[in-house]
Parts: sequence; structure tokens; C-alpha cells
Amino acid sequence: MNVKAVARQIAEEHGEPDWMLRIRLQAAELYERLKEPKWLRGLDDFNVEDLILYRNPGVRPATSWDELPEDIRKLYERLNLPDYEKEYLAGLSTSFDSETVYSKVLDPLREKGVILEPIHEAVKKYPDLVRKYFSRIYPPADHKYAALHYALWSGGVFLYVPPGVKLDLPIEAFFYISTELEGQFEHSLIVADKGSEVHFIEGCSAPMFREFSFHDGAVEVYAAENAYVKFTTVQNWSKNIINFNNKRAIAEKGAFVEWVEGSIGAKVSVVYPSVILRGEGAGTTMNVFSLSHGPYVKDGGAKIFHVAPNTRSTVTSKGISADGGINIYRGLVRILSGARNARSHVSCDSLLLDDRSEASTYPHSQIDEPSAVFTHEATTLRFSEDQLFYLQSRGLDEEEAKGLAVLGFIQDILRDLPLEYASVLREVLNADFSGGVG
Amino acid sequence: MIRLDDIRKRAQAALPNTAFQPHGDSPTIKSYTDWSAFEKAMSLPVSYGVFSGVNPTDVLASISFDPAANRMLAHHFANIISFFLADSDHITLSSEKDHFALQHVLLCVRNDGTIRIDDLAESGPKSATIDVLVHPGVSSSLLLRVSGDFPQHLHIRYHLGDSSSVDVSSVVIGKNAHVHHEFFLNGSGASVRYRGASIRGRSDVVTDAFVRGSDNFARVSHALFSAKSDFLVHRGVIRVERQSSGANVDMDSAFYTVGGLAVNVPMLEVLTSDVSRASHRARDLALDSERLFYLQTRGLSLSSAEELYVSSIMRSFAGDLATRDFVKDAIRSFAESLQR
Repeated sequence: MNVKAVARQIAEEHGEPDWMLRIRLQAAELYERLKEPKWLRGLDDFNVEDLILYRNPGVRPATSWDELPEDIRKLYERLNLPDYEKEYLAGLSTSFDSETVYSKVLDPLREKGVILEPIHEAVKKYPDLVRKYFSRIYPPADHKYAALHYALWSGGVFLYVPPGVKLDLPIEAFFYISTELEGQFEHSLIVADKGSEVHFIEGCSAPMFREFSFHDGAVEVYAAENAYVKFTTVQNWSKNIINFNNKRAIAEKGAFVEWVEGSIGAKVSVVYPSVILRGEGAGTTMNVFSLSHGPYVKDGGAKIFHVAPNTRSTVTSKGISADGGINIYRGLVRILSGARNARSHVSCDSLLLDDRSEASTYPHSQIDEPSAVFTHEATTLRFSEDQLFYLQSRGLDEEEAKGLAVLGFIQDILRDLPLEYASVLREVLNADFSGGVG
Repeated sequence: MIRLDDIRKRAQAALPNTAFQPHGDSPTIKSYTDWSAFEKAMSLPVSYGVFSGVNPTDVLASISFDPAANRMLAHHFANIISFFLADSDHITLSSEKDHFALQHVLLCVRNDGTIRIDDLAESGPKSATIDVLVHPGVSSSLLLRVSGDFPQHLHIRYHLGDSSSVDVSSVVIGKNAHVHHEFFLNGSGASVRYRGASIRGRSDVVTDAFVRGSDNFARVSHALFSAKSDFLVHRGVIRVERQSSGANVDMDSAFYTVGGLAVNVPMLEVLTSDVSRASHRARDLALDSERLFYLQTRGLSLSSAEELYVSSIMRSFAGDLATRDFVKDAIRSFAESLQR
């Protein structure tokens, strides 16, 4: 497997400009040079060499469901995506393996200048706009697998919301991996211009394979002055996906980025959404929920960089470990000198449902500004026999009782999800604790 | 039977390939201690202080060593010629000009009482390793002073048996200090209370507790007081092992910065649900405007109010060391650096 050769192949198939090829090749070199992160758990058998790094389904990007091949269309119908699009969404983009196959935004929004395009198309149609932000928010040098992503990225979406445009309904991107031993490296770039508002939802799915597959996506969000971006992820990969996701936002003056990260599926998941509060008065809230039910590893958290004065951040993390699951919160709050009156509060709670599971929290704070205020608090709770007995005495069996405890534990996070997604999450959790999923 | 020769040989073999911080490959974490100064110090001739050599194999047999756990320890064990079996309640570990001082102290605590340890790098760089064995049923207090202008590496391991307890008060005022406390709560009912403060300068304090028995108790509190170009770090993990039961653990990592960089990393690993309480926090101790206003309404000037507040906060973390002159001096120095 030669990462550079695959990078060249992807660039050639999409007729990419030279600047993008340079990014790919530089990232491929970085990938070779950077060391494996030794601290990650659950990756002993993982080897990129085993993977198919680019898989083109051979479908031209469509703007109507009828244009898609029947098998793909039926798959999306089973996942209720056309219905969701009709009822709840302002736009939808779907990626199948390594390519975006469907992308559509409501006509009135398109007329207002909202752009929702497969990112390969956007590179050609809006090169200046894409080039201004692409790889500038989440740099390829951040770590080895960020470099691999930038060498091999394919599929994903570009969203641009013009100044002052406020979207009442969310936009969703959905990612699907169809085969085992496949690498998916989709890239989402979201630019909310001055004073705009958008809610972006990211969902994903894959069937259960005998072997693992690998997801190494990236999300870059740029919130211009006074913009508001809410980014919601409901990660429900099947339980043999190794999921890395490189997510970062930049918030300019007065902008606000709200991040909701729900992690249910995957064999190993490593995701730390991060926000750079670059403009005065910028703020963020990050709500992270993670379930590790079974012999799976969830390594998640949040990273925040306070660069400007009067910036605000709040992190709420809820991790649940059951049936031998390992849940890890790894967070960073960095308040730089000059970020006067910055305020940050981090709260992370873990719930252990049995003696075989683990919960770890690694919060990291680096405070370089005397006027800043930072607090972190964390607690690990257990689901006690008394609580179980109480719920069982009310007629619930053990798994139902655990499911109820989990829902109660994450109630704060559920409140931040759109009603229909919270409902889906509840169903998934109920199924998970009755053995119906995975 | 553990023999010093065997330990030395293992360390000598491991030294060339052992990193200062082999665990965790984050460049950020590696920068918390200025290891280059230690590397430079390792080229100096070694001095062993004034201790008479003993070979306490009966004590060594009850604790485990990994002489290659990191580069500093590997250097320590590769060069050590004897252990110092302490029976005093006041130990002073000093350094020598143009030498790298190495000390290894085995401290067997058989009776309740208070022990003072002064680790002073005032004349040259030094490395000390102290193993504190607290016998079952014994309650001990330990007052630790770490200070000096030269690189100093101090590794203290506390081995706690059934129903034993240790209450540690620690103050670090160093120019390049790496202080690593490791608490091994092996016995049933073993407990530890640790309070510490890093005041000015550059120091990296690590407090790790490994909870392995039943009904163990661990409270760890450390505060950083930084100003100007100081670089202070407190990090540590409380690990509640799978075999433990009913543990009650908490780590509090605090900071008061009027400049410089303060880093707090209070970590928690819980491997069992049979835990009574497990929590940790990081917090900002800085005087907020409301508290300042309250003190001013009681007739204090702005500077007096700030000094009073700093003094009370710092004393709460310095514990029983707070009355000693070097802590009072440090409090005064920090209070003077408060920005108006």
C-alpha cells in the first residue's frame, strides 16, 4: 500500500487543482514521518496496510433520490433518510464509501446563496472559498492520522452559509461504509459567514462485518463574526468500525459554536471535538456523550483554546461503561496569555454499570492568563445494587433498568438534540440494552 | 532475594535506551520538566552525600523496583552504591557543587509520629529516591520541603499496609524541580492525605495513587502559585484498581496565577464499580471581585486584602509546613507579585 500513490489516484480521478494535490502529498509525507500515538487503547491489531484506502462506488453525485442506483436508494430508504429530509431538514448530503452520492439543499436557501455541494465539486466550483479554509482549521500535522486523512480524503460535503442567512432547519451529512477492511476519509467543511446561523447534523452507519473497517474523517467549521453554528453528531457505527474523527472549529468575534457529540457504536472511537475561540466574546458549549457497552473503547473528550478576551466555554461530558466497556474522557482547556476574563467550566461524569468496565478521565488545563477563571469537576458513579433492586421491584428486568439508568444519566445531553434525533437515540439505547443492536 | 548488584546491572543495561518520560508521547507533557538540564547534570561526577552504606535486603524484599522505569531512575540505580536506611525523624538531603548528588533512602515507619524531609538542591543538581514503608496500623505525618536553584529530581514511594495512614504536607519552591509522589495503598483500610503547594519558579509535581485494598481512602490536593514567567505543573492519577473495594478517593488540583503558566492535570482511572466515591477537580483560587469587596468593606486596603487571602489559601495547601520561615517567605514573595 502506498499512501502517496492512492493520494495521486484520488486527485487524478477528481481532476483536482495542483494546490490540492500538494496538500495531499505533503500530508502523505507527514504520515510517513509522524509516530504512532502510543497512548491509544484497543488498536493492537490495527494496521492501515490491511485496508482498501479508496473505494469509488461509481455513482455520479445526484440531487434526487431517483437518480441513485436502486440498491443504494433502497438502503437510504431503509435508513429513513428521504423521509427525514422531507420532514426535518433544510439540506442533506450522503456519502457512500469514498464518494458523496447525493447532495441537495432546499431551493429557497440555494437562492439566498447557501451552498451545499459534494466537496470534490466545491473544490472545482468555488476554489478560492474552499482553499481559504481547507486544512487551515484542522492542520494535517496535528497527528499521524490527521495527516493520513489529508492525504486520502475523499467524499464529504462543503457548506457555505452567506452573511445574515439563518437556517431554520438543520442540514445533515450521512456517511455509510459498505464493506469490510475499507478506509473512509470523508471531509466536511462548514463556513458560516458573518451573522449567519446553521445547525449541521452528522450521522453514520455501517453493516456488521467479520473484519473491521476504518473511518478517519475530518470536520472543519469556521464561524465568522457573530455567526452561530451547532454541530451535532450521532455516531452509531456498527461495532467493528474503528472510528477516528478530526473535528475543529474556529469562532471569530462574538461567534458561538455549539457541539453535541454522541458516540454509541464503533469498536474503538477516538474523537476530541475542539474549538479555537479566536475572536473577542466568542463562546462554545460542548456536550459529549459516550456509551461503551461491551468490549469496546471510547476515547473522547473536548479541546478548547481561549485565544481572545472575554471568551466563554462550557464542556459537559457523560460517559457510560457497561459489560467490560472502556470509556475515556481526554480533554484540554488552554487559556493563552491575553485572553482576558476568559471563563471555562468543564464537567465530566462517568457511570459504571458493572465490575468489568472501566472509566478514566484525563482533563488537562493550561492557564496562562491571570484574569481567567477555570474550573473542572468530575465524578465517577456506579449503578448500585440498591438502585437495580429498586427498579426491578417496579417491574423492570435488569437490562431495562440499566437502559433507564443510562437515559437518566444523559438527560442533559438529550435535551440538546432535536426531538426526532433524541427519540432515535433513545430507541438505539433501548435496543442496545436489550441486545438488539450490534 | 533482591541484590543491589542486580538492580545496578539492570539499570546500567537499560540506561542508553530509556527515555525521561517513556509513558505518553505527547510533546507537551515532555516539556513540563526541563529534562535537558538533567541530561547535562548526568555528565557530572556522582556524589553520594554523607550516608553510610547498608544492605537492607530484608527491606528491599518487601518492595518492588523497576530500575528502568525512566531515564532518571535508570541513572539513579545504575550509579547508586548504597541505600540509606533512615531511622531519624529529620532527614536532610543536600547537594554538592559540580557533582550530581544521588541519594536513596529507605524509611521504615514503625511508630506513629512526624518525619521531616528537606530536599535541597542549593549547591548542585541532585536525584533522590525515597521509599517510605508504613507498617500496618501506623499513622504517620510527613513534612516535605523541596527547594533549590539546581535541577532536582525527587521520587517518593509510599507503601501502605493494613490500616496504615500517611498525612503528607509538601511545599516545592524550585528552579527546575521534578517531584513524583507514588502512593501504593495495598492494605485494607489504608489511607493517604496529601496537601501540597508549588510556589513560584519551575516545577513539575506528579501525585499518583494506586488503590488496591478494601476501604481505602485517598485525598490529594495540590495548588500552584505562579507569577511572571513561572512554569508550574501539577498532574497525577488516582487509579482505583480492579481488586479494590469501597474506595473513597478525590483529587483536587488548584491554581492561583498572576502570570506565568499553570498546568493542572488531575486524572482518574476507575477499574471497578465497587467504589464508594471517586471524584476529581481543577479549580481557580484567584481572588474574585466579590470576595475582595467583602474584605475591603471590613476595613482592609486592597493590598492587605489580597495578601490576607493569599496567605490563608496558601497555608491551607502547605499544611503543617505553613509556619516554617521558608513558607512564610514564599507567601510574602508571591503576595508582592500580585498585580494591581
